[in-house]
Amino acid sequence: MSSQGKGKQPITLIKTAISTLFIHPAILFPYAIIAFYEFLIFELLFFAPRYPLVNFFGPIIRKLEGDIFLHYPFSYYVLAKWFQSTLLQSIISVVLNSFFIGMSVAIINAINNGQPVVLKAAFKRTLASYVHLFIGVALPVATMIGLSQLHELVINRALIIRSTTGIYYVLKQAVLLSIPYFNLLLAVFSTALFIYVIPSIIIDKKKIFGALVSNFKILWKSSGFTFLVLLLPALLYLPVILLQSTTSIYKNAAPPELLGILALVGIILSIVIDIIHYTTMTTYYLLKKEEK
Amino acid sequence: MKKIIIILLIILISVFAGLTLLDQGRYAMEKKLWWAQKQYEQIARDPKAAPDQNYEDLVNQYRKIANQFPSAALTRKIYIKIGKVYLLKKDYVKARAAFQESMTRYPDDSVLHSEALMHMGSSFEIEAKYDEAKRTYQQIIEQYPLTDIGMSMPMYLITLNSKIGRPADAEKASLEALAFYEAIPKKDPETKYAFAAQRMLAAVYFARGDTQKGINLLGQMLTKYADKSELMTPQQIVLIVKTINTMSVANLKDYDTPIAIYQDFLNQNPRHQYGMYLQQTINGLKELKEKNVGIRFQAVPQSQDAQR
Repeated sequence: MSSQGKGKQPITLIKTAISTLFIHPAILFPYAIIAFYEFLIFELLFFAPRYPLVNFFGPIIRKLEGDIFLHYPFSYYVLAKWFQSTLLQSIISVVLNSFFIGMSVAIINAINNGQPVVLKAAFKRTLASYVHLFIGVALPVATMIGLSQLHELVINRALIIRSTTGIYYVLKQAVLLSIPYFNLLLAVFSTALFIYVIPSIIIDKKKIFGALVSNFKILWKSSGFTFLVLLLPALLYLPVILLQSTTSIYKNAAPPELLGILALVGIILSIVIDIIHYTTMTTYYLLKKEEK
Repeated sequence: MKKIIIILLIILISVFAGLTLLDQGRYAMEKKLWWAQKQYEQIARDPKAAPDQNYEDLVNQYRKIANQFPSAALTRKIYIKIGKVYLLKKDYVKARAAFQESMTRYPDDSVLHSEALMHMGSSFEIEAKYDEAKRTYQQIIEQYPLTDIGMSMPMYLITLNSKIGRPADAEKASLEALAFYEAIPKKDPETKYAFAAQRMLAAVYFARGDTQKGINLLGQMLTKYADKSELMTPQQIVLIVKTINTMSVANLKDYDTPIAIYQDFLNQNPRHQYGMYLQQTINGLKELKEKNVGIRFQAVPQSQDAQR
């Protein structure tokens, strides 16, 4: 896997990472587990308004959303809203994804060192650093939430612009129409800011502070490159954003199930993007390490 | 590794299959009804353009749903829906038969009966068979007076008689409506029926040109039901205040009566949750009185905390 010169070309690095995945599908195993619990949560939310789960979820949905959201087709709004909610996905990322992404990095490291892939060993290695991984994933999540709050201030300011023509109107429209796309950029930026933390914890067995120092050292030298490498796979998410932000146009023609399908496709794409992100950046981290 | 992935897949499929099997069908029924409703809306957009087959298909679809989920609560409404499909088709005999079927199938559901009879009455109205329509509406008043539809029928009969140019019948209907609405609060005081009946009574007073009496009644209602938040909801208080203001200021050019009503309410209920709203209304009316211009309303605050 390691080779000199592949370093500074984003596309080449991504291609290398993807071909590594094909050659060593074991790297995908932790992501299969991530996909499993994401699908399981989706299933539970899908059945939440029906018997028998309605006995548990019914009062919660009634209190938080209203009685009508227990019925078809409004239940799909709750499914999409809850499944994609920042709270739920943040908790999943910090508590569970942190562990399994760490495990995939451990598998990549084992492959890079020419060792056989032993899941039990990768599991043990990751478990030993779980606390640091937890914080390592909580940091980009917290950064993303913080940046979103700042973004919301801008949105709220734009909303009170009353002009219907001229530069202020254009500004308002630009801010409002770009919300989902800007959120994607913020997500990429937040991920990029701490992307080397997990490889550093797993590969170099560092604690969170040491990993943060290593992360920022690499980032200092290749921030633009890192951002670009993370941005390119993230563009896969654009069609979902486009479809979700234009539902008002086709909602009468499309079945309500589309909302649920989009939420599911969105989460599948997020997992795919995470796979490419962490495999690519771990590869880059290992290349950097070998260069030293 | 493959084994684990297969196990995870089996878990996902089993959960899906298990929950699908456990589902008692309510959700599936809602889904089918929603799609049928979509078809109904499509036909309703241009009933003349829809081929006969579309109507029959929709009716069959409704009957199939009813047969599939005979004990579901929503099934009760299906025969009304079938009747409405025939109304669109202008097949009034079949429409009325469907409304009658809903009553025969569910003999103890007074709300459903009142709705079925209302649709039957309106089918007669569409056919200009006004005597049959009035008889049907009268049946609702007699048999189901304490339903939303039953409560609105005496007032509707006044409107219908006026609309079809029968002033003598309209006068008779208005006297009957007065008697009907006056009797309910005497029989069931301070209940939701009494509240609704008094609101309708005010409407009858307005229809008879007895504006002052209607305004006074609404004013009394404000005070009488001040502590009954389940009846005096934000929507109801806005409706009552708007009606008092419109009838008094716009029709009688009288600013003082509503101000006196609201002031009286505030004196009796100084810490009431709608106190600030009513005080703002008083201030607005005083301002309008000074400037002698039209009416302006403000929204009622939703939260009780906002008042304090």
